Amino acid sequence: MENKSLSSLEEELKRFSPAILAEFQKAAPSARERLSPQEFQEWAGEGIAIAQFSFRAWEAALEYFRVTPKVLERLSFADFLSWAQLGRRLSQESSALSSAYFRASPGTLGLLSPSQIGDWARIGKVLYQETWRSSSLCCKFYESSPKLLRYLSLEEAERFVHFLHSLTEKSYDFATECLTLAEEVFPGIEREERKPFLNLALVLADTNWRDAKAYFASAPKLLSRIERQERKRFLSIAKAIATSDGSYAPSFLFDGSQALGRVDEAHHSRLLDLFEEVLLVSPVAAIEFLKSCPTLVDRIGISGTECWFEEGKRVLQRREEAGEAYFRLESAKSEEVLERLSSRVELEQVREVLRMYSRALTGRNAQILSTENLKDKGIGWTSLEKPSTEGTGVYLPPFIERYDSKGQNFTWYKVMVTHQAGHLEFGSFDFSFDREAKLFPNWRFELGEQARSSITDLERFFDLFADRRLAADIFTAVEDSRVDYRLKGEYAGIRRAYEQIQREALARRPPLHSLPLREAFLEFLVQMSLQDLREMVFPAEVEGELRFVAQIASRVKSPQATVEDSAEATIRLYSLLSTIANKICAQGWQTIDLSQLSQDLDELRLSLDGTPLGEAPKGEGLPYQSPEVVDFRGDFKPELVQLLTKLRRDYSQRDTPDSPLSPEALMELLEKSAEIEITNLSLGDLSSVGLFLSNILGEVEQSPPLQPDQAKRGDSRKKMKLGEKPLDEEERSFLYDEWNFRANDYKPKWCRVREKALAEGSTDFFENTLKDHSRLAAQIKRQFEMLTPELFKKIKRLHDGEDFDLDAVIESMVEKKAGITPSEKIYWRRNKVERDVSVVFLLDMSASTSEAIEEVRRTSDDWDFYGDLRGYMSRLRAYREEIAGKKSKQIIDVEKESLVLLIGALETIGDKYGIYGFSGYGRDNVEFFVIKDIEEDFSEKVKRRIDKVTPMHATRMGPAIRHATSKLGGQDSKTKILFLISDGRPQDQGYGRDSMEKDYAIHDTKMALLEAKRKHIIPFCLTVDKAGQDYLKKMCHDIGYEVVWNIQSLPKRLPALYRRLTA
Amino acid sequence: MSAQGVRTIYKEHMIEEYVVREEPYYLPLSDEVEVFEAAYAQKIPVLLKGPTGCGKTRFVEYMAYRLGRPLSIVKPRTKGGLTERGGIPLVTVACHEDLSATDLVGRYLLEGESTKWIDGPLTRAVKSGAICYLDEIVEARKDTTVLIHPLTDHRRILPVEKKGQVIEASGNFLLVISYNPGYQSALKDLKHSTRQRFIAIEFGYPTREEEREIIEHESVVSPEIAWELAKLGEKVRNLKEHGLEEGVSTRLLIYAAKLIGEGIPPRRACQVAIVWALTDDAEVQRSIEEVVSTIFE
Repeated sequence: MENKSLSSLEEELKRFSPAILAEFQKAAPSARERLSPQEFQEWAGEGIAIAQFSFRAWEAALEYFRVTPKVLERLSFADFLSWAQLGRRLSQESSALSSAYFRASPGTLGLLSPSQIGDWARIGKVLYQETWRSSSLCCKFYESSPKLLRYLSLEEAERFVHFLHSLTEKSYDFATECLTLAEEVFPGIEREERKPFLNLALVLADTNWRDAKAYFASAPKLLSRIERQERKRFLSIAKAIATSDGSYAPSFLFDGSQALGRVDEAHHSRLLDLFEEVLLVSPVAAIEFLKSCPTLVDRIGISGTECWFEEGKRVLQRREEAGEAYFRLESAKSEEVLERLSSRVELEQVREVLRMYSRALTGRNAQILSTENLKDKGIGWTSLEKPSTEGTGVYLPPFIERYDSKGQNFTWYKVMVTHQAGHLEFGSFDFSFDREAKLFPNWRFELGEQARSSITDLERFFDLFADRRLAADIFTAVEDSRVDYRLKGEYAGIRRAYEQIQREALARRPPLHSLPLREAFLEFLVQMSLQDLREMVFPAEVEGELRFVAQIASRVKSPQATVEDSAEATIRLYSLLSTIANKICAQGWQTIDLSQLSQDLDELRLSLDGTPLGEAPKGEGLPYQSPEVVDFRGDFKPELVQLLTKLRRDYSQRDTPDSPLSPEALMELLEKSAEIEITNLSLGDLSSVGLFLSNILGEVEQSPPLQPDQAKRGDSRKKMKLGEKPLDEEERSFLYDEWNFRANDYKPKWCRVREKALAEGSTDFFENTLKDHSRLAAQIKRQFEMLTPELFKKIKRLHDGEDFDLDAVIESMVEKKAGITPSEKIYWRRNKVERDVSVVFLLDMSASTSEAIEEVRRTSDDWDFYGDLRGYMSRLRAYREEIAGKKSKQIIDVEKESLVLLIGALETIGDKYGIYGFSGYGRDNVEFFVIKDIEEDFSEKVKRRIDKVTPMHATRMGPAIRHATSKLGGQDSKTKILFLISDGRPQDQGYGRDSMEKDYAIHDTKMALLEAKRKHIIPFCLTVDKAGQDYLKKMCHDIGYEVVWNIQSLPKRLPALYRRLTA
Repeated sequence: MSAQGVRTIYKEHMIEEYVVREEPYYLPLSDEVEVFEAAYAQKIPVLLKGPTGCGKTRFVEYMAYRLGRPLSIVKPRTKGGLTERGGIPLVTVACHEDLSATDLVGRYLLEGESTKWIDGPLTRAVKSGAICYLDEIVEARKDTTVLIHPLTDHRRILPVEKKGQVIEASGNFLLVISYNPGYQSALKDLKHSTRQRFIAIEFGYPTREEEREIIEHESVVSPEIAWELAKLGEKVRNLKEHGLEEGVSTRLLIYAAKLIGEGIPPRRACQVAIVWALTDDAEVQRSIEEVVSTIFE
């Protein structure tokens, strides 16, 4: 029966075309194999049905039969039938469509689930508009589907078709071209960018169809110029622009991306922020701004650009055209602002230079910090503009734009630093109450006899005075004067700039006659400190007093003067000035010549008994106001600095039994100190003093070293907690310093690394990996074996060796004949260059390595599923099962696999290697797991340990690197390599968890890597974190690193890298 | 005799007859002169430690001159003979990575149809009773220790393997080695079996006052310039390990002084002799230049 109907079928088919019959006969055997007789009938019937539709439908049927064997491999018969019916329906429309559909099916079906086939057919049909052009476009779509769907999901494909469809309304040629281009365009666009990309394309096709094609064709290039994270945003901005007013969109897309391409990628996000800000006001200005960006960032940096932008926004709000010109860099105003900003010096740019400069001058480890930091500390400094120091750091304003040139602005910084460094260098804060002054008789000793106990020497000194504020002001003026004098004497090179700035400061001082008398005296003192005054306009009635003040003040301008002399001068000046009433003196101002000062100190006989310092200043008058601070000198708070220094010192040697520092005493000191501004702190308000006190103590405690005894205590506590379970015997712990980049110093013994052997599991993982990757393993091994013979180099021209080096012998004979002493290096020897490599692999076992990687895996087009369709299908199935069973592969699995493969290779060439994992939580608990110790031989144990490598806690890289470094340091190989494999940035509690600490962690890691480098170890960082580029660049600035984009390639990449590093 | 022969003989005499005739300028910073004299009297080998350019070599020259001055020291007669004025010869060998034991002891050279043994510098020093100064000893190859060990303990002998000989050191022979602990790698550290055969004299940087004196003496600048340079030296040394691997050496300061003496403006002289010589790091360079411009007008 079958035969009969077969022949009748064939008969029927023959009627359409002999070619159909031939295809049918070709397909029949495989169809028969897969189908029941009943199904076979249906199959053939379907073909006939297709062929019957129209005059040329037989062509579609022919394709139908031709692809049948391949399609049947993939679809069940039920699905097959619905597939065929879809084709038949297309055939109703046009046989060409149907042919294309069938023809493209084998390549396409592998990319779709059976239920999606209908969607695919429907999407394509949208393009068909019953004209021959639409038909050919539609056919083309089907034909390119196998390629398109590799990159697009069906949903995206549908959008794409809509885009084409909109284009067809304007131009079929454009649409066809776009479809042709699509195969090249889509691979160049990241998966997550495709949707916004297509959305924009759709909008453009409606509003701006001529540009749409250009946009479509150049999209990959456009996008590649923009920072990866920002591309989506760029596209959505473009879409917004295109929707609102299409005419700007092309400019934004092309000019904008080009401009951004010329700016460092790190700034893209910020620049787009700014762009969006202006966009609302004026699209023209916004685009002009974007176009100006490269120039701006180049000239004034990103922060400068922000300032320039703010100014521009203001201009724009006033008048739109002016704003547009501003952003186009075509207005005088914008040039002016740019000029000012480009001459501006930012602390951030010169911080390192100033730090080293100040370190060179003082020999102390000074930090250069922005005054913002000091103010935030809340320990008594409030001014933002003025420089200061608190004993360990010099605080400077965040930027300077006083002058028109960068050079002058920098000089201003330099003079400020020099002045602050001068305080440190010439001992302003080293004041000792009991040290003798050099130029004055020591009145202090007598006065201070009955002084009460005090914390610091300066406190004791200021305790002498009833009016601490007046005393402090006098002391400041005198001491600044002394320091400036010493600086100018010591440093001839800076003298001129220094004096220039002093003169400028002098010009800004308030006029004396506007001040009440006592304040006028103080002001006079300050002006004296800025310049040697030869004459002064002052009330004649106090001429004698003025002379006295001038004389005392000029006395400390001497190379011999010490801080104690300043103190003695303060006593004398105070005793005089406290007697002067602070009232406005309206008459009698005349010029007093000060060029002739008597050297006799006792000219004005001031006896100690006459003016007891302990009493409040006499005389009525206005309340006393401190003189204005000299801007380049800034805040001088010696008492606080001494206190902080002392507290720090005490803190670092805490064991001292009877510390005189009770909180009460501290509180008292702070309350009476004139250096804390009343505005900041009302005196009676104890709670704010308390807060202040805790800030100060916090400042001191900021870097408490982990003392050995503390560490021990930590241990015992741990033991208590664990109860009966004693600590693992095998565990060894090590203490390491940590780098604090803010302090530019190490925190000593800050981290505890606990080393332990990893638990052992089964060897299955190891064996299975080798089995699964047998081809790769063999390949790697072969490559490494090839490496070995390279090492047997012939070394020529030796004194001694295996045999004569013929060239050298001949040369030497020639020389001998010629009468020259011949070289005796005429031997060669082999095997001189030994491979002598030790390597440590440091594996990140942080929790984040548990991340599943299917996302990455899906997009990876490493496997060629064109060539190996069946393999692909089986993998796809496996992948789906994995998803279902939630047993997807983790990053750490790939890391492990790579190691397994590498071990094989390393065993081949005989390099010494150790494998360690690290994780942990907190600085006291950096876990360091030994997977294979560097001295240990490879064994079953190692295989078992690899099985147990699992994601654990956090990532504190620094200490782990340091520990690995010390392991490598013990090796005496010629080449030592530290290989760090991680999945992301370092983080741990107090170590890069929040954005504030991110830098800290990165800097510490960087320092740890540099330490390794200094020990002649070659560090190399490998990360699978896609965002790795930005911080790795910072972390490894001249250390090798690599970001592996596709984690699946890690097993292949790691051995290759290793080979390259050691070859 | 052929020209070649003359040259060879001339050279041979050079090495062991190099006696420091002029008194080298050396400013003692501490009691190192007395210590060295005592060590020499007792034939204890000396190890000189210290940063580069701090005067180690100059010290050895000075000591060779100083110790050679009293003619009472009896000179053994060697083949070449000593000049009538006596003095202790100084043999200085700068060690490098490829310096092998052979280079120090000597080797056979071809001469005509036969071979001829040529003593190496160490052998000559041993024979003639010179002070042999091995500069930067850790740089030399490991096989040199074979020679140093027997020479530096009670045996005081030099084995000459190729000739199958052992040479007893002459009475005046003293081995002095130097090394700079600063920048050597851990691998290149001196082994304890070696270093514990020497007494060690540590050299630091001179104080500002001393350095001024040295600079002034070694160049032709005014005391003021010398003082400023010494000040600069002190300031720059504050940057050691804060950007600089090594502080600026007295030698470099003297170079700067010499350039200034030749009429180069001080800032420029410091730039070429100090800033650029010290580091390639642009930021560190800038910092040092700021210090220079603060000190010099």
